[in-house]
Amino acid sequence: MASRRRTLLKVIILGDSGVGKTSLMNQYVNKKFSNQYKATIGADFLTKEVQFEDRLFTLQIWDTAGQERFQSLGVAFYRGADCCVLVYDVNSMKSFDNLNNWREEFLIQASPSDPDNFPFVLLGNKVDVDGGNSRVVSEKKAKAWCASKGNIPYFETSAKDGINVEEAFQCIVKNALKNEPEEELYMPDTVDVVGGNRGQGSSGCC
Amino acid sequence: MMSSRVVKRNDTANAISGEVATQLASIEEDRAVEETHEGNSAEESYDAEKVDRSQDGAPGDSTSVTLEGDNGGSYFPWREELESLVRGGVPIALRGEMWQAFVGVGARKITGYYNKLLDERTDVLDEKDLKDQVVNEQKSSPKKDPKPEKWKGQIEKDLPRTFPGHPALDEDGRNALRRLLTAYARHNPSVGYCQAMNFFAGLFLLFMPEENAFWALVGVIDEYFEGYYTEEMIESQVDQLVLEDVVRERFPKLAKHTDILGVQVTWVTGPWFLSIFINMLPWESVLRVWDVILFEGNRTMLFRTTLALLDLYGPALVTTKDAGDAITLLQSLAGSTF
Repeated sequence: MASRRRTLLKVIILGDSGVGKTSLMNQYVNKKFSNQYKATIGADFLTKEVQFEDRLFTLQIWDTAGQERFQSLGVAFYRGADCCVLVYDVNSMKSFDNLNNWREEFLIQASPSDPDNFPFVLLGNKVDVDGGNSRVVSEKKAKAWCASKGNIPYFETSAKDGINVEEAFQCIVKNALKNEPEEELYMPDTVDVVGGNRGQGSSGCC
Repeated sequence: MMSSRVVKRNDTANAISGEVATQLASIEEDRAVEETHEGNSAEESYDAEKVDRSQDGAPGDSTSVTLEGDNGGSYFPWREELESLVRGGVPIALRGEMWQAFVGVGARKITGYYNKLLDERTDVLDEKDLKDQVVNEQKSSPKKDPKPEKWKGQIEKDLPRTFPGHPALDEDGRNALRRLLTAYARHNPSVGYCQAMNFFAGLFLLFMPEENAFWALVGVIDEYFEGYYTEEMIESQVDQLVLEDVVRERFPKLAKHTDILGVQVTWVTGPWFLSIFINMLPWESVLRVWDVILFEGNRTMLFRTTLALLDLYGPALVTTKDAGDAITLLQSLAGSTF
């Protein structure tokens, strides 16, 4: 595919409508939260320059529309993704139950070469809501799901308060790099460092 | 000036709205219907009527449906002038009336239909009703159908995400928006509710009364954008494929460049089309695009606007060095141009 030198990391954010995908992206890229986001139609896109282990990358973040039918539109931009961020709302069981669908749909559409080891990161968003009192998905349950899918790193976030957002995206970058094909100019020892994805990761990466 | 011309042509259809009598030819026959408003007659017959109308309105050439429709297909001599006026931008004070005339709200309107849709199920449509409904006898109506309306949750999510912060979308505004979207979803279950319709409905509500906004929405989604917002979104996909071909033909250099970068123009233009440029262009430009779309009654303006943007920025686009830059530039085109 792309034969260019690799400095771009492509990240796709998926999850049910209203879980906070746009808010997370904006909190990370612009350090801002607004109560006034518009529903995302189709897909949106932002870039951010990130430094990771002395290298500069351009993170290309694709924010998607949550309504299911938009899947039938071109999701061609899934292809070539380096990491897929799944988002659910800890206050919505349905958004958690749908994670399987989002993950599978992504794997079908993006058709990565090694689907079993493709890097996902899970974010349980809106932990700030109602002081946690309206929460319906426990951390334990989320972690169990992550473990069952090959130890997906998990973070509990609040896009509103900026909780864990930076950390989560650090991990996303790290995992996106893991996906980097070895033949490209990149030092394999770094791959080893981030390679062990067996940590149970109490809201941690790898 | 424009309205005087319209009025002249339209001597039977005078002054329903006081300030502007902008009803165009095809709307005349329905004056009477409209004036009865939510009358309680005619309710039983609306189904048959509706079928009739949709056949009448079936566009051979969709551009001419509302404007050349009924008067024996007679070409009205001021069409060209009107067209150029519309392209120059409909004056804000006339916009609501003009849009309704363009879409043929009067001709489409079936008395009582809107309210009947809302009554079909006695589910709560307003926060306020929630409280009132305990005492509302309709609640125990035998018509009540337990079939879940799966688009409901999505509408709720999108109400506060429709022009957030706009003063018109206060509690009453949101309730109107909810009713409008609910009525549409029931009217056309093959579409139900698709995100983006919230913006269209919100836009119409800013310019016309609620029930008229419903009929305008019906015109746009059932006709001009038929097959666009259904579950499969087929027509939307078709438009992007067509656009891709046109871009290749018209801007071969640009197409080649985006190929090399591994970028598809349609990743960016898809959302432009789907949202009919709402939130993509500055507000005033959105209204201007809508002026033309509603006047022409088809989607040509979407292509024209997009191609114009690509034409303007093609030279800059072909200098981008990676996919991120290209997409960022593409995205910024719409927002910064007009």
